[in-house]
Amino acid sequence: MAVIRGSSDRSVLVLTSLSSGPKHGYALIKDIESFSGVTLGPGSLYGAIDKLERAGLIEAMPGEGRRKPYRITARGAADLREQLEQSQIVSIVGLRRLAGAAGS
Amino acid sequence: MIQFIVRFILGLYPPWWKRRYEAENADLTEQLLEEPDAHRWRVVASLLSGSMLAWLQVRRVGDYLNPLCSPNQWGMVPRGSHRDIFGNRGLWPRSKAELEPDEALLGVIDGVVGNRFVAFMPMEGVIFVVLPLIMSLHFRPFSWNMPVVGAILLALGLLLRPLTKSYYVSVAVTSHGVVVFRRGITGRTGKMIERMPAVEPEFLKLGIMTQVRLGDRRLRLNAGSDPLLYWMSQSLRSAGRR
Repeated sequence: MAVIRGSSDRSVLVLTSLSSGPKHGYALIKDIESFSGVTLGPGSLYGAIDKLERAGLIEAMPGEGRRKPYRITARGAADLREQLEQSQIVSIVGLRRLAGAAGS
Repeated sequence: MIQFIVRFILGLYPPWWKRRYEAENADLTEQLLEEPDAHRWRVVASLLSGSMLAWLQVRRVGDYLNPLCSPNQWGMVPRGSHRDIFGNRGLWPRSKAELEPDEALLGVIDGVVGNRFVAFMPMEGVIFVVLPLIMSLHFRPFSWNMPVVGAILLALGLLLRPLTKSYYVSVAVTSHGVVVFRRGITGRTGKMIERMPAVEPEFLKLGIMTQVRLGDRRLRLNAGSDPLLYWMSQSLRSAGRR
């Protein structure tokens, strides 16, 4: 099942954020905003969290009060790595071709 | 005002979602709204779209329980007649566990074997019992007539079904042949009934096969999925010849 679709997909943003350590909802939104410029709303964030949790790519940790931190699982890390490597290939080829087109 | 709207929208989410995420989502929303440069209506719009997404998930869970009546078109390779929570089609886990480890599932098609009226009788009985109960809550005083008929139909159906071998079934076409599974009232595929090498087309109507022979049984197919089973059965047979 393809949970992750592209590098700008919310799932990739959430997984990338969690790859630096467990975070709860607000910390996730702020971190994603700082590295990608994308501002996720509470509805879209929990939509992505639900999808990733069901697919076993992230898991909830015991939290304090109403806040529940999430962490990336080993499978989530592997899926994210695969997706980012694919995106990297596309961006390298695209930039090389653009450079070639500008040079000619 | 905005707090009231947020509480109202959070109340629109489905119950399973509320159990899992309501507390933390309410906490996150409060934090976002407390920011000095908060885009309040963007937060509200996001919550609203999130509730719609959550309800779509419920629809997907519902699809898991319902067999698809006409899932397949010519040219499509199906993956089963039941959906899991992610929308993938396939057999229920209990049925899937009965396949061999190296057996690949090619498709699942729903139908009924034996007498279709007998197969439906227990369900009819349940409807006859439940319907007057619901109606009595809203419209009129409760009457015992229909529930008694329903109970008789239910008992008769449960007795006659095994005697006449009349069941709702799902036929799984696999890499090893054809496997027939019982199907419950909710549409879940259950116990395996039998295995066979292939199916024989039996009744063609306007060029579409509506019945096939499964060993000594006759399977009436749900409309729409028929050509596919025929095509698969032919492919299996020609593969067997080779």
